[in-house]
Amino acid sequence: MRRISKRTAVVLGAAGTVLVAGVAYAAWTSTGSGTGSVASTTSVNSTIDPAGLGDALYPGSGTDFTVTINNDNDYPVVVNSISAGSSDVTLGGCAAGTVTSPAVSNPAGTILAHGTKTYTLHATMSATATNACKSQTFTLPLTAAISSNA
Amino acid sequence: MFWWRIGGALAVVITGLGLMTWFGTAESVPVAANGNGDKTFGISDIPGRASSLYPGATGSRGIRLSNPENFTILVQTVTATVGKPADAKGKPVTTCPATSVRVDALPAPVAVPGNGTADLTLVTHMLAGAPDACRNLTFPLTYTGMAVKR
Repeated sequence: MRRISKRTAVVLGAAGTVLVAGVAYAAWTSTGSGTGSVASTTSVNSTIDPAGLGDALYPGSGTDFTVTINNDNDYPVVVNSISAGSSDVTLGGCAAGTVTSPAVSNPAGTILAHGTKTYTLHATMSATATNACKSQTFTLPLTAAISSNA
Repeated sequence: MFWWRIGGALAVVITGLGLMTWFGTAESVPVAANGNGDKTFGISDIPGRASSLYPGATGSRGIRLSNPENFTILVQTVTATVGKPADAKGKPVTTCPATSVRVDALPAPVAVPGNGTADLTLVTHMLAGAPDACRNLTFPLTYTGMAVKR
């Protein structure tokens, strides 16, 4: 009858431990699962309001004027463009289009969340403006393209 | 005879070590009630604990891990797969790709007590270039995770 040497017994013991450890680890691994969701916010349109009227105009003259653009969103935005402006008919009968402002692209700056920023535009009165345009206030409808800038 | 003896010795060693491992980590719990660690742990949203996303935003999503076992588990991984977004009526919005949103994986292992819960927060992102179609949508999440017995 052959007998197991001490060296053989040690090797077998070590092998047995490795085997057991592997089995025990695998048995205790488990998985988890579930469902959930996240949501995106919506966007709120901004408004453009007059801020500074600039100098009084006369035929052929120009002046800088300012507008403010607000941001009621929860995130910062950047103004991509402000449209060209053309005046409406005034209460005194000054013809539409007598005062104009050119379009502006990519004005500098970011409007912070729930913030407001002032932008400077330039207005010009037509050289052919009539007497009906004296002492008038001109309203130029403007639109701006705005995008998130987070 | 020789191999029979070796087999018998090895069987004893393995059995002994196996029992030590089993009871050594759950001493007061009967084996029959201990389970084998393969119960699925739960991963669910915590209502009201999520940021609304917008382009470029980094937000958060609160989740709860629920452990159905009666021993502590160590949740090692939790990942969230983003599904196709839908509008408020549940209608899929195909023009907003699911890839517009991503959720970071669990940053570090979390211990969850037996029959208990653990709350944590995952970081969420919306791509800066997400289109307008992604406004005001819900992005479904599918959670998966892995845990080991602590």
